[in-house]
Amino acid sequence: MTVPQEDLLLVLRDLVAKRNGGPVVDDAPLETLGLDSLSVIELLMAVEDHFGVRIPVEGIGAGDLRDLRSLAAYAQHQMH
Amino acid sequence: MPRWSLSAPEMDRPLSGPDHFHWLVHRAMRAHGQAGNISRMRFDLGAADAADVAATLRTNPVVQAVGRVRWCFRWPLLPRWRLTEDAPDVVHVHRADDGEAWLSQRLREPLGREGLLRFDVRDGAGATQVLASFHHALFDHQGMLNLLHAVEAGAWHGPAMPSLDRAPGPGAWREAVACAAAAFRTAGPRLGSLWVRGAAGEEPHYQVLRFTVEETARINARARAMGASLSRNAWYMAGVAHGVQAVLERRGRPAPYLWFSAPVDQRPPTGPGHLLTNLNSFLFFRLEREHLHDPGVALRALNVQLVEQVRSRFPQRYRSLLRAFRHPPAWLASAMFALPSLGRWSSFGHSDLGDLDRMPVTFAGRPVAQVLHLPPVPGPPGLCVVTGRERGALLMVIGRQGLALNEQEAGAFASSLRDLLLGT
Repeated sequence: MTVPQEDLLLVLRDLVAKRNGGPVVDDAPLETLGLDSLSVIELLMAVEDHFGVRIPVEGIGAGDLRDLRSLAAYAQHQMH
Repeated sequence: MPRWSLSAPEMDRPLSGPDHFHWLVHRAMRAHGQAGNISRMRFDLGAADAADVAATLRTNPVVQAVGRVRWCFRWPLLPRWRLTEDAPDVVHVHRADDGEAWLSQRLREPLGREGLLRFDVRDGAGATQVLASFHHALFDHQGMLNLLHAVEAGAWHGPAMPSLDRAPGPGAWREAVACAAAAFRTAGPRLGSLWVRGAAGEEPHYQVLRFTVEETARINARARAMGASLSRNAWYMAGVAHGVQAVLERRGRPAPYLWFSAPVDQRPPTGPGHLLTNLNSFLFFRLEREHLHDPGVALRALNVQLVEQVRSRFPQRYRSLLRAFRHPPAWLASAMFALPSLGRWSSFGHSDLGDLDRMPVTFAGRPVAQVLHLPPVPGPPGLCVVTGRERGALLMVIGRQGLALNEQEAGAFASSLRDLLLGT
Protein backbone atom coordinates (compact mmCIF):
# COMPACT_ATOMS: atom_id res chain seq x y z
CA MET A 1 0.00 0.00 0.00
CA THR A 2 1.36 3.44 -0.92
CA VAL A 3 0.27 6.44 1.08
CA PRO A 4 1.54 9.91 0.14
CA GLN A 5 3.88 11.33 2.78
CA GLU A 6 1.71 14.46 3.02
CA ASP A 7 -1.30 12.30 4.01
CA LEU A 8 0.76 10.58 6.69
CA LEU A 9 1.95 13.94 7.94
CA LEU A 10 -1.63 15.19 8.09
CA VAL A 11 -2.72 12.22 10.22
CA LEU A 12 0.30 12.54 12.53
CA ARG A 13 -0.29 16.28 12.89
CA ASP A 14 -3.95 15.71 13.79
CA LEU A 15 -3.11 13.01 16.31
CA VAL A 16 -0.51 15.16 18.08
CA ALA A 17 -2.75 18.23 17.99
CA LYS A 18 -5.57 16.24 19.65
CA ARG A 19 -3.14 14.87 22.22
CA ASN A 20 -1.62 18.24 23.05
CA GLY A 21 -4.77 20.30 22.61
CA GLY A 22 -3.22 22.82 20.22
CA PRO A 23 -1.69 23.39 16.78
CA VAL A 24 1.50 21.54 15.87
CA VAL A 25 4.54 22.64 13.88
CA ASP A 26 5.76 19.91 11.50
CA ASP A 27 9.45 20.59 11.93
CA ALA A 28 9.41 21.13 15.70
CA PRO A 29 11.65 18.59 17.50
CA LEU A 30 9.54 15.71 18.84
CA GLU A 31 10.72 16.38 22.40
CA THR A 32 9.23 19.87 22.29
CA LEU A 33 5.89 18.29 21.30
CA GLY A 34 5.99 16.24 24.49
CA LEU A 35 6.61 13.01 22.57
CA ASP A 36 8.81 10.38 24.17
CA SER A 37 9.67 6.96 22.78
CA LEU A 38 6.48 5.37 24.08
CA SER A 39 4.25 8.03 22.61
CA VAL A 40 6.04 7.70 19.24
CA ILE A 41 5.20 3.98 19.20
CA GLU A 42 1.61 4.82 20.16
CA LEU A 43 1.44 7.41 17.37
CA LEU A 44 2.66 4.89 14.81
CA MET A 45 0.10 2.39 16.12
CA ALA A 46 -2.62 5.00 15.56
CA VAL A 47 -1.32 5.52 12.01
CA GLU A 48 -1.48 1.73 11.53
CA ASP A 49 -5.11 1.73 12.67
CA HIS A 50 -5.94 4.66 10.42
CA PHE A 51 -4.53 3.11 7.23
CA GLY A 52 -4.99 -0.57 8.18
CA VAL A 53 -1.30 -1.42 7.75
CA ARG A 54 1.53 -2.64 9.96
CA ILE A 55 4.56 -0.38 10.54
CA PRO A 56 7.55 -2.14 12.16
CA VAL A 57 9.09 0.17 14.76
CA GLU A 58 12.07 -1.93 15.86
CA GLY A 59 14.26 -0.55 13.07
CA ILE A 60 13.53 3.11 13.72
CA GLY A 61 16.65 5.29 13.81
CA ALA A 62 17.51 8.57 15.49
CA GLY A 63 17.16 10.42 12.18
CA ASP A 64 13.55 9.23 11.92
CA LEU A 65 12.73 10.77 15.28
CA ARG A 66 13.73 14.37 14.55
CA ASP A 67 10.28 15.79 13.83
CA LEU A 68 6.86 14.81 12.44
CA ARG A 69 8.11 15.13 8.86
CA SER A 70 10.91 12.59 9.39
CA LEU A 71 8.51 10.31 11.25
CA ALA A 72 6.07 10.48 8.31
CA ALA A 73 8.94 9.64 5.93
CA TYR A 74 9.86 6.61 8.08
CA ALA A 75 6.24 5.41 8.16
CA GLN A 76 5.92 5.79 4.39
CA HIS A 77 9.17 3.87 3.79
CA GLN A 78 8.05 1.05 6.09
CA MET A 79 4.63 0.80 4.39
CA HIS A 80 6.24 -0.02 1.02
CA MET B 1 -8.16 32.54 38.82
CA PRO B 2 -6.22 30.12 41.07
CA ARG B 3 -7.48 26.54 40.91
CA TRP B 4 -5.53 25.48 43.99
CA SER B 5 -7.49 24.15 46.90
CA LEU B 6 -6.88 21.38 49.35
CA SER B 7 -10.03 20.77 51.30
CA ALA B 8 -11.17 17.84 53.41
CA PRO B 9 -13.98 16.79 50.99
CA GLU B 10 -11.54 16.89 48.05
CA MET B 11 -9.00 14.78 49.89
CA ASP B 12 -11.51 12.22 51.16
CA ARG B 13 -10.92 9.69 48.41
CA PRO B 14 -9.18 6.35 47.97
CA LEU B 15 -5.54 6.32 46.93
CA SER B 16 -5.26 6.19 43.14
CA GLY B 17 -3.95 2.94 41.61
CA PRO B 18 -0.36 4.23 41.20
CA ASP B 19 -0.47 5.77 44.71
CA HIS B 20 -1.56 2.40 46.01
CA PHE B 21 1.36 0.70 44.25
CA HIS B 22 3.82 3.04 45.98
CA TRP B 23 2.00 2.52 49.27
CA LEU B 24 2.44 -1.27 48.89
CA VAL B 25 6.15 -0.75 48.16
CA HIS B 26 6.28 1.40 51.29
CA ARG B 27 4.70 -1.33 53.42
CA ALA B 28 7.18 -3.89 52.07
CA MET B 29 10.10 -1.57 52.86
CA ARG B 30 8.84 -0.86 56.38
CA ALA B 31 8.43 -4.60 56.96
CA HIS B 32 12.16 -4.91 56.18
CA GLY B 33 12.99 -2.24 58.75
CA GLN B 34 13.67 0.52 56.23
CA ALA B 35 12.56 4.14 56.46
CA GLY B 36 10.01 3.64 53.67
CA ASN B 37 9.26 4.62 50.10
CA ILE B 38 10.60 8.14 50.44
CA SER B 39 12.34 10.27 47.82
CA ARG B 40 14.62 12.93 49.17
CA MET B 41 16.44 15.90 47.73
CA ARG B 42 19.20 17.76 49.53
CA PHE B 43 19.53 21.42 48.67
CA ASP B 44 22.85 23.10 49.49
CA LEU B 45 22.08 26.73 50.31
CA GLY B 46 25.59 28.00 51.10
CA ALA B 47 25.73 30.41 54.03
CA ALA B 48 21.96 31.06 54.25
CA ASP B 49 20.65 31.53 57.77
CA ALA B 50 19.14 28.16 58.80
CA ALA B 51 16.60 29.72 61.19
CA ASP B 52 15.39 32.11 58.48
CA VAL B 53 15.09 29.26 55.96
CA ALA B 54 13.04 27.23 58.45
CA ALA B 55 10.81 30.21 59.24
CA THR B 56 10.21 30.82 55.52
CA LEU B 57 9.18 27.19 55.01
CA ARG B 58 6.99 27.05 58.14
CA THR B 59 4.93 30.04 57.06
CA ASN B 60 4.60 28.88 53.46
CA PRO B 61 0.90 28.22 52.68
CA VAL B 62 1.67 25.30 50.34
CA VAL B 63 3.88 23.60 52.94
CA GLN B 64 1.20 24.12 55.58
CA ALA B 65 -1.58 22.72 53.36
CA VAL B 66 0.28 19.69 52.00
CA GLY B 67 1.75 18.98 55.46
CA ARG B 68 -1.80 18.13 56.58
CA VAL B 69 -2.22 15.21 54.16
CA ARG B 70 -2.32 11.74 55.72
CA TRP B 71 -3.69 8.37 54.86
CA CYS B 72 -6.20 6.54 56.99
CA PHE B 73 -7.97 3.16 56.84
CA ARG B 74 -11.65 2.65 56.46
CA TRP B 75 -13.46 -0.64 56.53
CA PRO B 76 -12.40 -3.11 55.17
CA LEU B 77 -8.88 -1.73 55.59
CA LEU B 78 -8.87 0.34 52.43
CA PRO B 79 -6.44 3.27 52.50
CA ARG B 80 -7.86 6.72 51.79
CA TRP B 81 -6.41 10.19 51.79
CA ARG B 82 -7.51 12.62 54.47
CA LEU B 83 -6.47 15.95 55.98
CA THR B 84 -5.57 16.60 59.60
CA GLU B 85 -7.51 19.41 61.20
CA ASP B 86 -4.43 21.34 62.31
CA ALA B 87 -1.32 22.09 60.30
CA PRO B 88 1.53 20.18 61.95
CA ASP B 89 5.09 21.48 61.97
CA VAL B 90 6.89 19.61 59.19
CA VAL B 91 10.04 21.75 59.35
CA HIS B 92 12.83 20.67 61.72
CA VAL B 93 16.12 22.44 62.36
CA HIS B 94 19.24 20.54 63.44
CA ARG B 95 22.59 21.93 64.56
CA ALA B 96 25.12 19.59 62.90
CA ASP B 97 28.66 20.25 61.70
CA ASP B 98 29.16 16.81 60.16
CA GLY B 99 26.91 16.86 57.06
CA GLU B 100 27.49 13.20 56.17
CA ALA B 101 26.62 11.91 59.65
CA TRP B 102 23.54 14.16 59.69
CA LEU B 103 22.39 12.86 56.30
CA SER B 104 22.99 9.25 57.32
CA GLN B 105 20.84 9.76 60.42
CA ARG B 106 18.04 11.40 58.43
CA LEU B 107 17.99 8.59 55.85
CA ARG B 108 17.18 6.10 58.62
CA GLU B 109 14.13 8.08 59.73
CA PRO B 110 10.66 7.24 58.45
CA LEU B 111 8.15 10.01 57.92
CA GLY B 112 5.79 7.99 60.08
CA ARG B 113 3.04 9.83 61.85
CA GLU B 114 4.55 13.12 60.79
CA GLY B 115 2.94 12.76 57.40
CA LEU B 116 4.02 12.67 53.80
CA LEU B 117 6.20 15.74 53.51
CA ARG B 118 9.01 16.94 55.74
CA PHE B 119 11.87 19.43 55.61
CA ASP B 120 15.01 19.01 57.72
CA VAL B 121 17.25 22.06 57.85
CA ARG B 122 20.90 21.57 58.80
CA ASP B 123 22.53 24.51 60.51
CA GLY B 124 26.14 23.71 59.76
CA ALA B 125 27.76 27.05 60.63
CA GLY B 126 27.98 28.63 57.20
CA ALA B 127 26.85 25.50 55.34
CA THR B 128 23.08 25.36 55.39
CA GLN B 129 21.33 22.40 53.79
CA VAL B 130 17.69 21.42 53.49
CA LEU B 131 16.68 17.81 53.11
CA ALA B 132 13.22 17.64 51.53
CA SER B 133 11.54 14.26 52.10
CA PHE B 134 8.57 13.36 49.89
CA HIS B 135 6.50 10.22 50.38
CA HIS B 136 6.31 8.39 47.06
CA ALA B 137 2.70 7.37 47.71
CA LEU B 138 1.76 11.05 47.40
CA PHE B 139 4.29 12.40 44.88
CA ASP B 140 5.76 11.15 41.64
CA HIS B 141 8.87 12.94 40.42
CA GLN B 142 6.90 15.52 38.42
CA GLY B 143 4.73 16.08 41.49
CA MET B 144 7.85 16.72 43.59
CA LEU B 145 9.04 19.33 41.08
CA ASN B 146 5.55 20.88 40.98
CA LEU B 147 5.51 21.08 44.76
CA LEU B 148 8.96 22.72 44.88
CA HIS B 149 7.83 25.35 42.36
CA ALA B 150 4.58 25.87 44.28
CA VAL B 151 6.53 26.35 47.52
CA GLU B 152 8.80 28.89 45.82
CA ALA B 153 5.81 30.74 44.36
CA GLY B 154 3.85 30.48 47.62
CA ALA B 155 0.86 29.22 45.60
CA TRP B 156 -0.20 26.63 43.04
CA HIS B 157 -2.33 27.54 40.04
CA GLY B 158 -3.20 24.07 38.72
CA PRO B 159 -5.53 21.46 40.20
CA ALA B 160 -4.50 19.94 43.51
CA MET B 161 -5.25 16.39 42.39
CA PRO B 162 -6.14 14.63 39.13
CA SER B 163 -9.71 13.58 38.54
CA LEU B 164 -10.67 10.55 40.57
CA ASP B 165 -9.65 7.16 39.17
CA ARG B 166 -12.90 5.38 38.40
CA ALA B 167 -13.56 1.97 39.92
CA PRO B 168 -12.65 -0.69 37.35
CA GLY B 169 -15.55 -1.95 35.24
CA PRO B 170 -15.82 -5.55 33.98
CA GLY B 171 -13.44 -4.82 31.06
CA ALA B 172 -10.86 -3.35 33.38
CA TRP B 173 -11.09 -6.38 35.66
CA ARG B 174 -10.41 -8.63 32.64
CA GLU B 175 -7.37 -6.52 31.83
CA ALA B 176 -6.25 -6.70 35.45
CA VAL B 177 -6.46 -10.50 35.40
CA ALA B 178 -4.54 -10.67 32.08
CA CYS B 179 -1.93 -8.36 33.51
CA ALA B 180 -1.57 -10.41 36.69
CA ALA B 181 -1.18 -13.54 34.54
CA ALA B 182 1.63 -11.83 32.62
CA ALA B 183 3.31 -10.94 35.92
CA PHE B 184 3.14 -14.57 37.10
CA ARG B 185 4.45 -15.78 33.73
CA THR B 186 7.50 -13.51 33.65
CA ALA B 187 8.38 -13.15 37.34
CA GLY B 188 9.15 -15.87 39.84
CA PRO B 189 11.34 -16.59 42.84
CA ARG B 190 14.38 -17.53 40.72
CA LEU B 191 14.93 -13.99 39.50
CA GLY B 192 18.48 -12.79 40.06
CA SER B 193 18.85 -10.59 43.11
CA LEU B 194 21.70 -8.90 44.95
CA TRP B 195 19.68 -9.02 48.15
CA VAL B 196 21.40 -10.75 51.05
CA ARG B 197 19.41 -12.14 53.94
CA GLY B 198 19.92 -9.96 56.98
CA ALA B 199 20.35 -6.72 55.03
CA ALA B 200 17.19 -5.27 56.57
CA GLY B 201 17.17 -2.00 58.43
CA GLU B 202 20.22 -0.35 56.89
CA GLU B 203 20.16 3.19 55.58
CA PRO B 204 20.82 3.47 51.84
CA HIS B 205 24.14 4.65 50.40
CA TYR B 206 24.41 6.74 47.25
CA GLN B 207 26.96 7.32 44.55
CA VAL B 208 26.47 9.92 41.83
CA LEU B 209 27.94 9.45 38.34
CA ARG B 210 28.16 12.83 36.61
CA PHE B 211 29.02 13.10 32.94
CA THR B 212 30.00 16.22 31.02
CA VAL B 213 27.93 17.46 28.08
CA GLU B 214 30.62 16.10 25.71
CA GLU B 215 30.61 12.72 27.45
CA THR B 216 26.81 12.67 27.31
CA ALA B 217 26.95 13.28 23.55
CA ARG B 218 29.40 10.35 23.26
CA ILE B 219 27.15 8.15 25.40
CA ASN B 220 24.09 9.05 23.29
CA ALA B 221 25.96 8.37 20.04
CA ARG B 222 27.14 5.01 21.36
CA ALA B 223 23.62 4.17 22.57
CA ARG B 224 22.21 4.95 19.11
CA ALA B 225 24.95 2.94 17.42
CA MET B 226 24.11 -0.02 19.65
CA GLY B 227 20.43 0.25 18.61
CA ALA B 228 18.89 2.40 21.37
CA SER B 229 17.15 4.82 19.02
CA LEU B 230 13.72 4.22 20.57
CA SER B 231 14.80 4.60 24.15
CA ARG B 232 18.13 5.62 25.67
CA ASN B 233 16.84 4.18 28.92
CA ALA B 234 16.83 0.72 27.38
CA TRP B 235 20.60 1.09 26.90
CA TYR B 236 21.08 2.26 30.49
CA MET B 237 18.99 -0.66 31.76
CA ALA B 238 21.00 -3.07 29.61
CA GLY B 239 24.17 -1.65 31.19
CA VAL B 240 22.81 -1.94 34.73
CA ALA B 241 21.58 -5.52 34.11
CA HIS B 242 24.98 -6.47 32.70
CA GLY B 243 26.63 -5.01 35.82
CA VAL B 244 24.27 -6.84 38.20
CA GLN B 245 24.95 -10.16 36.48
CA ALA B 246 28.71 -9.45 36.65
CA VAL B 247 28.42 -9.03 40.45
CA LEU B 248 26.40 -12.25 40.74
CA GLU B 249 28.96 -14.10 38.63
CA ARG B 250 31.78 -12.89 40.89
CA ARG B 251 29.73 -14.24 43.80
CA GLY B 252 29.60 -17.58 42.01
CA ARG B 253 25.84 -17.62 41.45
CA PRO B 254 24.90 -16.05 38.11
CA ALA B 255 21.18 -15.42 37.73
CA PRO B 256 19.03 -17.55 35.42
CA TYR B 257 17.24 -14.31 34.55
CA LEU B 258 16.76 -10.75 35.77
CA TRP B 259 13.32 -9.15 36.12
CA PHE B 260 12.81 -5.45 36.61
CA SER B 261 10.41 -2.62 35.87
CA ALA B 262 10.59 0.91 34.55
CA PRO B 263 7.98 3.54 35.45
CA VAL B 264 6.04 5.20 32.65
CA ASP B 265 4.82 8.76 33.21
CA GLN B 266 1.13 8.99 32.35
CA ARG B 267 0.66 12.69 33.04
CA PRO B 268 -0.81 14.75 30.20
CA PRO B 269 1.97 15.99 27.89
CA THR B 270 1.03 19.66 28.15
CA GLY B 271 -0.16 22.02 30.86
CA PRO B 272 0.99 22.37 34.45
CA GLY B 273 -0.46 19.01 35.62
CA HIS B 274 -1.60 18.43 39.16
CA LEU B 275 0.20 18.85 42.44
CA LEU B 276 -0.43 15.65 44.39
CA THR B 277 -0.67 11.91 43.83
CA ASN B 278 1.10 9.71 41.27
CA LEU B 279 0.11 9.26 37.68
CA ASN B 280 2.35 6.55 36.38
CA SER B 281 2.38 2.96 35.27
CA PHE B 282 5.11 0.44 34.57
CA LEU B 283 6.75 -1.66 31.90
CA PHE B 284 8.30 -4.96 32.95
CA PHE B 285 11.38 -6.56 31.44
CA ARG B 286 12.96 -9.96 31.70
CA LEU B 287 16.49 -10.71 30.52
CA GLU B 288 17.62 -14.32 30.30
CA ARG B 289 21.15 -15.45 31.09
CA GLU B 290 22.06 -15.55 27.39
CA HIS B 291 21.10 -11.85 27.10
CA LEU B 292 23.24 -10.81 30.02
CA HIS B 293 26.70 -11.57 28.66
CA ASP B 294 26.52 -8.80 26.08
CA PRO B 295 24.78 -5.43 26.69
CA GLY B 296 24.06 -5.15 22.96
CA VAL B 297 22.14 -8.44 23.04
CA ALA B 298 20.34 -7.30 26.20
CA LEU B 299 19.41 -4.03 24.48
CA ARG B 300 17.86 -5.83 21.52
CA ALA B 301 15.81 -8.02 23.87
CA LEU B 302 14.65 -4.93 25.78
CA ASN B 303 13.68 -3.17 22.54
CA VAL B 304 11.50 -6.11 21.49
CA GLN B 305 9.83 -6.28 24.92
CA LEU B 306 9.31 -2.50 24.97
CA VAL B 307 7.56 -2.47 21.60
CA GLU B 308 5.47 -5.57 22.45
CA GLN B 309 4.25 -4.02 25.69
CA VAL B 310 3.39 -0.64 24.21
CA ARG B 311 1.61 -2.35 21.30
CA SER B 312 -0.44 -4.43 23.74
CA ARG B 313 -1.24 -1.32 25.84
CA PHE B 314 0.45 -2.92 28.82
CA PRO B 315 0.94 0.37 30.77
CA GLN B 316 -2.79 1.13 30.53
CA ARG B 317 -3.67 -2.45 31.47
CA TYR B 318 -1.28 -2.33 34.40
CA ARG B 319 -3.07 0.76 35.66
CA SER B 320 -6.25 -1.32 35.65
CA LEU B 321 -4.46 -3.88 37.78
CA LEU B 322 -3.34 -1.14 40.15
CA ARG B 323 -6.90 0.19 40.39
CA ALA B 324 -8.11 -3.33 41.11
CA PHE B 325 -5.46 -3.70 43.83
CA ARG B 326 -7.02 -1.06 45.99
CA HIS B 327 -10.36 -2.86 46.32
CA PRO B 328 -9.38 -5.96 48.33
CA PRO B 329 -8.39 -5.40 51.98
CA ALA B 330 -4.84 -4.16 52.49
CA TRP B 331 -3.45 -7.51 53.70
CA LEU B 332 -4.78 -9.28 50.59
CA ALA B 333 -3.49 -6.55 48.25
CA SER B 334 -0.05 -6.86 49.88
CA ALA B 335 -0.09 -10.63 49.41
CA MET B 336 -1.16 -10.28 45.75
CA PHE B 337 1.55 -7.69 45.22
CA ALA B 338 4.28 -10.00 46.58
CA LEU B 339 3.09 -13.21 45.00
CA PRO B 340 4.53 -13.10 41.43
CA SER B 341 8.09 -12.74 42.73
CA LEU B 342 7.41 -14.41 46.10
CA GLY B 343 8.66 -11.34 47.91
CA ARG B 344 11.91 -10.89 45.99
CA TRP B 345 10.26 -7.92 44.24
CA SER B 346 12.70 -7.37 41.36
CA SER B 347 16.36 -7.56 40.37
CA PHE B 348 16.91 -3.79 40.61
CA GLY B 349 14.98 -0.55 40.43
CA HIS B 350 15.37 1.87 37.55
CA SER B 351 13.74 5.17 36.67
CA ASP B 352 14.39 8.23 34.56
CA LEU B 353 13.80 11.60 36.18
CA GLY B 354 13.99 13.25 32.76
CA ASP B 355 15.12 16.81 32.33
CA LEU B 356 16.31 18.15 35.68
CA ASP B 357 16.47 21.73 34.36
CA ARG B 358 12.93 22.17 35.70
CA MET B 359 14.43 22.04 39.18
CA PRO B 360 14.01 25.46 40.89
CA VAL B 361 17.23 27.48 41.12
CA THR B 362 16.15 28.94 44.45
CA PHE B 363 14.74 27.21 47.50
CA ALA B 364 13.02 29.03 50.35
CA GLY B 365 14.08 32.14 48.45
CA ARG B 366 17.81 31.32 48.64
CA PRO B 367 20.02 30.37 45.66
CA VAL B 368 20.65 26.62 45.42
CA ALA B 369 24.34 25.75 44.99
CA GLN B 370 23.71 22.05 44.30
CA VAL B 371 20.95 19.43 44.56
CA LEU B 372 21.62 15.85 45.60
CA HIS B 373 18.88 13.42 44.49
CA LEU B 374 18.27 10.56 46.91
CA PRO B 375 15.68 8.15 45.47
CA PRO B 376 14.20 5.37 47.61
CA VAL B 377 16.21 2.15 47.58
CA PRO B 378 13.69 -0.63 48.13
CA GLY B 379 15.14 -3.69 49.75
CA PRO B 380 14.81 -6.22 48.25
CA PRO B 381 16.37 -5.71 45.74
CA GLY B 382 18.67 -3.22 47.47
CA LEU B 383 19.83 -1.48 44.29
CA CYS B 384 18.27 1.30 42.27
CA VAL B 385 19.70 3.41 39.46
CA VAL B 386 18.10 6.71 38.56
CA THR B 387 19.05 8.81 35.55
CA GLY B 388 18.44 12.44 34.72
CA ARG B 389 19.87 15.25 32.62
CA GLU B 390 21.16 18.55 34.01
CA ARG B 391 21.76 21.23 31.36
CA GLY B 392 22.31 18.48 28.80
CA ALA B 393 24.67 16.46 30.99
CA LEU B 394 23.74 12.92 32.05
CA LEU B 395 23.52 12.21 35.75
CA MET B 396 23.16 8.77 37.32
CA VAL B 397 22.40 8.17 40.97
CA ILE B 398 23.22 4.68 42.19
CA GLY B 399 21.45 3.87 45.46
CA ARG B 400 22.27 0.68 47.33
CA GLN B 401 21.86 -1.15 50.59
CA GLY B 402 25.29 -2.01 51.99
CA LEU B 403 24.77 -5.76 52.22
CA ALA B 404 23.12 -5.98 48.80
CA LEU B 405 26.15 -4.38 47.19
CA ASN B 406 29.16 -3.76 49.42
CA GLU B 407 31.49 -0.79 48.96
CA GLN B 408 34.02 -2.67 46.88
CA GLU B 409 31.35 -4.21 44.65
CA ALA B 410 29.62 -0.84 44.32
CA GLY B 411 32.88 0.81 43.24
CA ALA B 412 33.48 -1.86 40.59
CA PHE B 413 29.84 -1.69 39.47
CA ALA B 414 29.91 2.11 39.03
CA SER B 415 33.26 2.08 37.28
CA SER B 416 32.26 -0.66 34.82
CA LEU B 417 28.92 1.07 34.13
CA ARG B 418 30.73 4.32 33.38
CA ASP B 419 33.21 2.54 31.08
CA LEU B 420 30.42 0.67 29.31
CA LEU B 421 28.42 3.84 28.65
CA LEU B 422 31.45 5.77 27.42
CA GLY B 423 32.79 2.82 25.44
CA THR B 424 36.21 3.02 27.09
